[in-house]
Amino acid sequence: MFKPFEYLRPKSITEAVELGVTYGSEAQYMAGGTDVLVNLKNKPQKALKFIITLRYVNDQLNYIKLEDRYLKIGALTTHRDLEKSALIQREYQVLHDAVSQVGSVQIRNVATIGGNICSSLPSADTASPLLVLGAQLKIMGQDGEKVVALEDFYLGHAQNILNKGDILTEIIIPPKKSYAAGKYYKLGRRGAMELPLVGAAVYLVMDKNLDLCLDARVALTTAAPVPLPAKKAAQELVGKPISPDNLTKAGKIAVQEASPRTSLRTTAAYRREVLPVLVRRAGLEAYERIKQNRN
Amino acid sequence: MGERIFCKINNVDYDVVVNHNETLLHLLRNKLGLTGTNEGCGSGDCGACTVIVNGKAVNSCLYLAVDIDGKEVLTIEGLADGEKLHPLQEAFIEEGAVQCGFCTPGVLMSAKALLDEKSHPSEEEIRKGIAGHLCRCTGYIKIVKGISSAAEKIK
Repeated sequence: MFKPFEYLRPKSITEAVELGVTYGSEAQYMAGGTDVLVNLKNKPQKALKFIITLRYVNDQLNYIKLEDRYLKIGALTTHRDLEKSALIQREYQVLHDAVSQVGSVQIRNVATIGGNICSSLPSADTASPLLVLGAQLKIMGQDGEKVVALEDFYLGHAQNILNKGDILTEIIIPPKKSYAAGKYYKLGRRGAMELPLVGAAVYLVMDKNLDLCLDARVALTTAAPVPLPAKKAAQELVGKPISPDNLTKAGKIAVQEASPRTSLRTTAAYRREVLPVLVRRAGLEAYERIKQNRN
Repeated sequence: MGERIFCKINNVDYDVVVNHNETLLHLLRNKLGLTGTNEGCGSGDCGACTVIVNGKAVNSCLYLAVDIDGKEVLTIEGLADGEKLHPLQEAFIEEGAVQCGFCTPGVLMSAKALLDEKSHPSEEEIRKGIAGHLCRCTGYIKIVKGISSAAEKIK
């Protein structure tokens, strides 16, 4: 049993927005509930008067589809549905790496990708892959709909740009480029129910001979107060061949961009030590995937 | 705040009043007397409270009771067919996959959901399927063997 709260169950997005506006800071939106309910349990002093569940608008926000080559994911799509999607497995491997490693089957059956983003923790597994894929977010609020880049969404640890009544409705991924692939590498102690000690996603776009890197993106998990795009590290890779040395160099730059802290799970020093290794491994694997996908 | 819900648990229709802040786990154990589902960590880490809701394994400690309105739930009490044990239960006994038994009901429910989805999972798939469970006795090997031998039997 949790501390008493009233559970509001809007049936449409409009109604959900209205409830959020009406109840403001006394209310909390909930999607799958695997973060919200655990927080309620662990921090009982943070009593909530209202929980506004989005479970009952689920039908409208539960989809994975391609439209004009843009991938569109409804915010209430579960990690498990993404994990099992043939489209995600085949075309968006870097995202698949993350969604298949979140929590456990039981958690993935209820936890949603929108919830993972909105909790806005630096340890969110889907964040780094979505950052390197250049994801944009569609947000519905009392003044209508807007689209923002994921990298402009986070403001700090568990903080984002959402105002009261704002609801993330869709994640949009721009068209896939040729000779491109990514890899998300997560370091944990257990194969499940593990927040990453640290993680890295690397996405590479190569020329057609796979000799030169035309574009690169690097993003880091649990390496700063927010999921972090490591832009200088990515820049280091562009215009060069992909090699372990170049990737290690990029990884060392990524560490300079990061600001890891010592937490319950591990130390800042350890995070700094392993980040370049993860960047190198993720980069090499991304490159391998480009080779495999070409054949 | 109390609310009346209708659901089916282990193929029996229920008409019960639940509170908004009540978990499915609490409803099962404290109101319905279905104490086969255990509470371990209460935060989704250990998997002891796993049940199947509309065909999917979930942690009942992180699932609000009010959300099962209109749904079907299967708990460990509904796994056997009367006195006849489910092949998974038989296999767990044969392989010695049960020691203290606290994690067992949850593991069996995840195993059931896994086999319903894929009748012949690989060892890797079995391991991934039960990764959300902690077992402090068996070292998991006998559990994996149990699931794999039950899959053979079911075919």
